[in-house]
Amino acid sequence: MSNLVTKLPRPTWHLLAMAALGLLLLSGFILLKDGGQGASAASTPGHAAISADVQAVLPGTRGELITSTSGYNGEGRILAVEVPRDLAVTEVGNPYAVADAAWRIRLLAADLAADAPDVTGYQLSSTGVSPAAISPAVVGELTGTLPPPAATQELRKLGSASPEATRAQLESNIAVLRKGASGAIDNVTIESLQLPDTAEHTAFAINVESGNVAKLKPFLGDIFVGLQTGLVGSENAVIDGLAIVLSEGSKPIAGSWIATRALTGAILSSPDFPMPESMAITLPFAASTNGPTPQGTATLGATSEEPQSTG
Amino acid sequence: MQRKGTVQSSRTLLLPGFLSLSAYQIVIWMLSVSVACFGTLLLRITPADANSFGTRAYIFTKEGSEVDILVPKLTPAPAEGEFVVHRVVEQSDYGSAPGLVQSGLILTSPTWGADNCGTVSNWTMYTEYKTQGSSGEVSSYHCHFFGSESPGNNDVFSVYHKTAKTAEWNAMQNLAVVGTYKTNFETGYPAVGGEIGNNGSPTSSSTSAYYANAPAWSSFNEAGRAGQFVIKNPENTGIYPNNAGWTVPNPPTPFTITH
Repeated sequence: MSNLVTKLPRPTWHLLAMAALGLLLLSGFILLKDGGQGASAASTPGHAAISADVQAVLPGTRGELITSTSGYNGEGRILAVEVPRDLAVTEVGNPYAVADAAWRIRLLAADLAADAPDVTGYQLSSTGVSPAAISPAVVGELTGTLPPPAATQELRKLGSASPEATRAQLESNIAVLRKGASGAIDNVTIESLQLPDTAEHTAFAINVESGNVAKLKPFLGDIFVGLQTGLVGSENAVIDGLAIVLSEGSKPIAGSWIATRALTGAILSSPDFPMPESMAITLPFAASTNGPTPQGTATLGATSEEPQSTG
Repeated sequence: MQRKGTVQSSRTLLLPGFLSLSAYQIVIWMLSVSVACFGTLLLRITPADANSFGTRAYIFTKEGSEVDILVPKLTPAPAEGEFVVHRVVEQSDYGSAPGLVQSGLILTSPTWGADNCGTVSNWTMYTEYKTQGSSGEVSSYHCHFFGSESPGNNDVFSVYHKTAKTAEWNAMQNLAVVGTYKTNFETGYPAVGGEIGNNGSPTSSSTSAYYANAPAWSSFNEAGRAGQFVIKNPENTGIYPNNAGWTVPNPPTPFTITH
């Protein structure tokens, strides 16, 4: 072996040297491409598992993690999800369904990012999940950037309550609401979303159904704030998310969506059922989980002052 | 053992080959390695430094109107049941269901939240947008928090019309676009100011706001409140179609510009 090496002509040494340099450059490129987050990337599930997770939270869709080279957080991966067109465009279809789909994907992306910080955003699109479909990951309803990991450091109680405890808290809240609303609520359904990772990564989607939602107007604070008691609504949140939809029959009238890890919230209301600027709790909700005890919420509203012309 | 011995042997014999390279070839090689190393280093630190700005800029020349805010000092913690915001806002109109997009800082008491983002115990950068309501359309509020901020930091917040003839608005924090929002309106009234909300009573503006027709050099400072600096874009003629020009009234005396 040593003889073979020593007998190689000098140009061959140059080739070996160049090959070594090439390997060095290649390794540097791979490191750069990976963003130094190989360990994080390895901690997230593969394509099949991601797709299963996406379908679990939003049936009928498919998704995967795709490298994104632009956005608020710089290079990273985003959860790209292909959805039917009526869930990908806010101007068509059912805005409540769009908000709900965005909330579910936001929940999942934020959950993935909890273990893999290189997951920086999400996008819902009806045009596929190819990299060409990925636009700069700024925050919007259908395309969003997750907050930087440091921004979620205050969420110290997240996941601290067991699924049984959070479910019991939610059912307690609903019981208080139903009793206080004096029969104006016909039915309440609860969907429990088990996010990947651990059993404590949970979210609930609630549908409050009434045959006459006008009777519930005095209780809007109890519906959209009171039901958060012990669960979400502050840095003391113990679950990943809560969605509340108020329906008249099967028609959504108003709704709210909170995604705790994504630090986002949304409120929708139909034109004949405008949400008030402020909503306060009137019923005796009680926290049993060491979670939040919100008393009310207000919109960061517009001013009503007419501008004065300086003419 | 045989493989290990072979590798050691190769290393030993490799050196004479390199040493026999000409000085020129060695220099070229070292340069190549240096470029590769520094290139990798520079590219890797670029994303982390993308939002770092040593100097603030206040004037933007984008389509549509824009408003910026500088917050040199922050208010004390709000009282029980209150929330306090310093913000820039673009509002579509003064009707019953205006649309808006805003960016700023928020602090709440432990029990009274803002929108559906809830309460925050530290000053927190936020954006919020609301679609302009119209007959038959569902209105929506969306809020986003972006992490806490230290009192005394000089943060700049902006909102501006992304492009002409669209209903998309950009919200910026410290010169970085953090949100692009569809709001259902294309022109509006820019304003800056503070707001205090309190226990179920209607929210109220705690400080004066400056609107599209205010003097271009408008600014004010109120003890413990926000310092503001407003620049209007002359292309914002949608609300006041006859106000096609951009006039700057005489500034007050003395007139001081500070950074």
